[in-house]
Amino acid sequence: MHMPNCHGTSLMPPLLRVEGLHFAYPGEPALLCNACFSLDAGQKLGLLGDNAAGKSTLFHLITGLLAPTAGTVALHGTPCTTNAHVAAVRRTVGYLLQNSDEQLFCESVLEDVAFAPQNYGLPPAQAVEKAQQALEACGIAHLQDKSVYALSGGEKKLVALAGILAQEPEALLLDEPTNMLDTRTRQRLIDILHTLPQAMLVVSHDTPFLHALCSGFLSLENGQTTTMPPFHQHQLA
Amino acid sequence: MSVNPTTAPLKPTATVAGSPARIHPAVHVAGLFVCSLALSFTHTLWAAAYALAVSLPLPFLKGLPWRTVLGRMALGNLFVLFIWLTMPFTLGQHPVATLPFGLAVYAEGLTKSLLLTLKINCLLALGLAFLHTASVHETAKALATLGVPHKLTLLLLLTARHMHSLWASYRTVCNAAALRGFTPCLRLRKLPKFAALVTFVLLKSLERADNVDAAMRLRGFTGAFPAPLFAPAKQHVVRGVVAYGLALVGLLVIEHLAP
Ligand SMILES: Nc1ncnc2c1ncn2[C@@H]1O[C@H](COP(=O)(O)OP(=O)(O)OP(=O)(O)O)[C@@H](O)[C@H]1O
Ligand SMILES: [Mg+2]
Repeated sequence: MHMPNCHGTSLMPPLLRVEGLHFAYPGEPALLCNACFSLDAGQKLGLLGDNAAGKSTLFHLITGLLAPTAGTVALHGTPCTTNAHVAAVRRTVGYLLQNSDEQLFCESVLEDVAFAPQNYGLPPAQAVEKAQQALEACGIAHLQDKSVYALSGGEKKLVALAGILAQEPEALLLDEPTNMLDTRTRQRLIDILHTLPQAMLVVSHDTPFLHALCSGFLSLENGQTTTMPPFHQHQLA
Repeated sequence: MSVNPTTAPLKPTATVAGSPARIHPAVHVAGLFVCSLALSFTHTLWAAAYALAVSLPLPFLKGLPWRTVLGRMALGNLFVLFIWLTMPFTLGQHPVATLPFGLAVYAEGLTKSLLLTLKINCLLALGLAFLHTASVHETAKALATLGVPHKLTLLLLLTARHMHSLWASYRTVCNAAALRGFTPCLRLRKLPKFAALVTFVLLKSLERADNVDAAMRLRGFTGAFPAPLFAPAKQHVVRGVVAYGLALVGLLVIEHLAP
């Protein structure tokens, strides 16, 4: 199995490579120093780290919402240096925010899920079709006409996920996706994520969930990422 | 009970665009504008009374609770009250009655007050019927259909989204404070704490607005809101044009024929 590291040995460039990333919020001590890893197509990685370790910040840096003080994020081997590169990353990498309330902003669920396909140039009819497929894939087709303001926390999470899937990304950054999900919805999410072909980088404090989904693990500690050996059942105990 | 900002419904009575048997929002906005304009130029009590008779049932027909309708109308009529307290005594030359302290009541002032009362209530009813049942999104789309620049409709949408967040945050913070024994109010002793609370809400909502903006950009948003998903249904446009057209014709005819 190809384990992610900074100097991957495979010939194909990884889907996403983060190299020597440094970052500090203004007036704060360094949060990330020399973070470094790569994500191959189809690979599902768990990202572990304590509260305030900088996991969400790392996702913000990857998607260009924040700019690193040093280091690069490369997509298919191309470092992101221009706005066009950042736009390409955002199109290729779907980011499920930690707080799905902030991810939804259209009036109806269908409109919200169709938002990305429309922005990427699909005419309304096709955008609706894409949105409906994504809703179907997440098992929430029945919510399509509901107002996003009238959804439960778990439903919001699934709608936000559908909104990302509708843009057909190659990779997903999932920030605590099981947050606020009940046991059944959580299991449904695991099933959905299992069937998806996309590469994933998943932040979660729900270790059994990560174990059920991921094939490899990164840990973020003291601003640096390290690759962890594959998780074994006995380590969960 | 825990107070969780992410599970608190932001807008429990939100409606979804596209419910059946209705008039297209763009026609609504245009119709309201034209009819209000025509109404403002009418001079006869008959025409104003006709306009009120046509518009008053609309909020109820739209299914608004009568308490809401009456409450809002009463609020709007505070201004009307002010008119009645001043205009009949100041406008005109022909006194019809004299009140104690030699206060004269003029015929012209009375007529004008009645005319304004009818007009204002008509506009209130129309506004309630439309604005209270159309979502901000529908209104924004309607304005866009009518050619209002994208930037403005976008501003409207984001302002509405921001107001929602602001209100939701305020409620959440108030709940959290109440659970720990603090009732927010404007009493002097509690004012500093209340001010701190409001400041916190403002800062929080600013952060939240930033995050919503980020979420939009993450999904490919570059400043232009996508076109409406569904083309306006033809019958909704036709229905609107016919309804507003008839109302307008009625108004003009009565204004012309009135004694
Ligand atoms: N906008 C900001 N300005 C300043 N500091 C910030 C900002 N956002 C986050 N931080 C700080 O950066 C640190 C890392 O935050 P981040 O949200 O990345 O942590 P996290 O690993 O995702 O934590 P959690 O597991 O709790 O979600 C925290 O100490 C946080 O207070
Ligand atoms: Mg986080």
